Amino acid sequence: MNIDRIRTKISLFTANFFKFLLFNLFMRYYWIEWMLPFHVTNLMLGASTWLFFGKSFEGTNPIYQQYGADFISFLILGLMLNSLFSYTLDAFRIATLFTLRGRVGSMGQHLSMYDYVRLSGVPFSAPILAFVVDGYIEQFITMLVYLCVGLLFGLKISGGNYAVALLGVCIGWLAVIGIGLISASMIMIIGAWKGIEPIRWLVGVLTGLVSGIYFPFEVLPEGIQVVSRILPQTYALRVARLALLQGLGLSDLETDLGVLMLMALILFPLGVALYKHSINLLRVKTFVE
Amino acid sequence: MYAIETIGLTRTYLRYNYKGTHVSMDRDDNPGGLLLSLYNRYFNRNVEKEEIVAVDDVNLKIPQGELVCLLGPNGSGKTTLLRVLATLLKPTRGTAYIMGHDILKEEDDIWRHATYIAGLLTGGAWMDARLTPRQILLIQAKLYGFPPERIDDALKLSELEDVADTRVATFSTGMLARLSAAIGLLRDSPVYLLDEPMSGISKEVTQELYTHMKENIVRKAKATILFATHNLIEAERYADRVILMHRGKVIAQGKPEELIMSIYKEQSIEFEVLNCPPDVVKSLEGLSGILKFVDLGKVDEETIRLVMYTEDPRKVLPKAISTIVEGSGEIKHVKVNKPTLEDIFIRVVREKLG
Repeated sequence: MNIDRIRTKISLFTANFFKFLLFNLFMRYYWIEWMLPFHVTNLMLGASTWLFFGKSFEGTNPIYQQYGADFISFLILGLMLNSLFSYTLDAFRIATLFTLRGRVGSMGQHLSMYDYVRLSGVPFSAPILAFVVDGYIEQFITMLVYLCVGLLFGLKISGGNYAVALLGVCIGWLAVIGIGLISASMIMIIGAWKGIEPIRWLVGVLTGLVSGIYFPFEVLPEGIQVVSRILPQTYALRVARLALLQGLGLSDLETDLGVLMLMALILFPLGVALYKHSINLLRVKTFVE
Repeated sequence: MYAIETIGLTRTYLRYNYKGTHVSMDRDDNPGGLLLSLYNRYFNRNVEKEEIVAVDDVNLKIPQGELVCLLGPNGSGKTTLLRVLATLLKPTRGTAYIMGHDILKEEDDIWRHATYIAGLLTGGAWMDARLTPRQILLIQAKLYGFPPERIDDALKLSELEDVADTRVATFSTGMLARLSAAIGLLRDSPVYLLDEPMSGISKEVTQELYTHMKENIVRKAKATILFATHNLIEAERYADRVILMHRGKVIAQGKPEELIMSIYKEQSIEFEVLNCPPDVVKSLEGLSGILKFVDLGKVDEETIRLVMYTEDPRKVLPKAISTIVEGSGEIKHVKVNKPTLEDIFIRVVREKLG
């Protein structure tokens, strides 16, 4: 591939990524105008319910000692990261479905989004990433609301090791993106464009119970903890909490970070490879089959 | 080098036939839809898997600078063939080359060399009604890195120079269709793949567009247009070459007139003759070059109708006229019936596929 072609690809990606992103943001204007106040209220009340619930037995279990015996901070961090990881599990699958079912055109003359993208040489990643990035805006608003509620209830992260926490979250994020991409690839591989996608469903269901969003996973029976240890969210949550609430550094968390890194190194490339394969399958199987 | 060359191109689909199975659960919005769908596909004995051959071992060689028609009824595989050539679908077997580029190995080159338009009206996907043709072409040129000087040429060839700075929202259907083609001209596409290009376009505009395509895109820009249609009149009137498709197979191809002559050799000459003596009828029947003679009997008291079938009406017609006139008959009406592409199509389908 010569330089001109790479330049054309980059210019096509950039122009179309921002075109799709602007379109999505424009559509989100209605969400901001009509839905955001209700969304924020729901989040605040939901988080408050959890926090009052927590307050009622705060510090009574010695297991919270390792997290600084601060249930409020423990829970707020769990809720914030759960928003990020839950959306990440869904992001690529939903973006792919919207892109495959979307249409492009004006004046009543339309092409399917897929045909448009292929015929114009636009990288398929442009509309997908625009959709994914747009969705993260909602998640960052959600995380911000949780943070504000947490601060109201006395969230204490001032003495935390921010760099290590951020590193843990980023590696965990990469691993969860891998799972999200594997889930998205199931649209074409097993025809999961209808009903529930089994991988996302299984990971989602298990995450809520075993990854330690609402309580430390150490309280679970040993047998169930085995399941906790195969989910990247468990390690990302643990690293973020211990780094922020106890100020632990790299050397203290090297085992958790190592496992998380290994998971990311396996899941992310596997997700990308399967996703590429599934997009390629579009031209082999089509939606007809 | 051919503009389009296909080698054993085959495309199949899998179809699941639900025999007596209740399938209403198998829907997009049903949470169990996927599981039911997988069960139906792999375990349900009432579901039959069937392979549909949409394009069957197609071998084509289309030279550059021709307006070629892919002709066939609905379901004959025209659209699938065009979508495979445009790399929107992968062939199951075989391959194809667009301007020498393999559609399987050089996908990135195909969209540069081929402009696929599914109906000229769908070109709206590349347009913004608030912009002018010049602005639309400028955006395309900037995006794809084409020299902006080519914009004027594309506008000129599309006969949109006068409205180059007018908003597209005010355009007629014909102008929009020409603007769709102008985007391809800007790309300097050597190959156009048009699927039912005139769908939804009136007869007058259809004629104008075909003339425009033939004169400006094919003759002047030396591009090749492969268009799919089921309209026999369009094919016969405008195409340089016709490819007949039926059930995924190419059943005949060639220039329309040559195709007609090679398959349907005989033509009929129909006479209505006033006061034609019986011996003249006998003489006509004995003329050389006549394959079959039919006396259709009296039209009225004094007029009879005769039909003669021949492979060479140019030789037979003058002889027949002089025989009638010399025998004191009076010709009221004469007509040479040339076979049409429709006759060819019906005959070829009957002969080759039964």
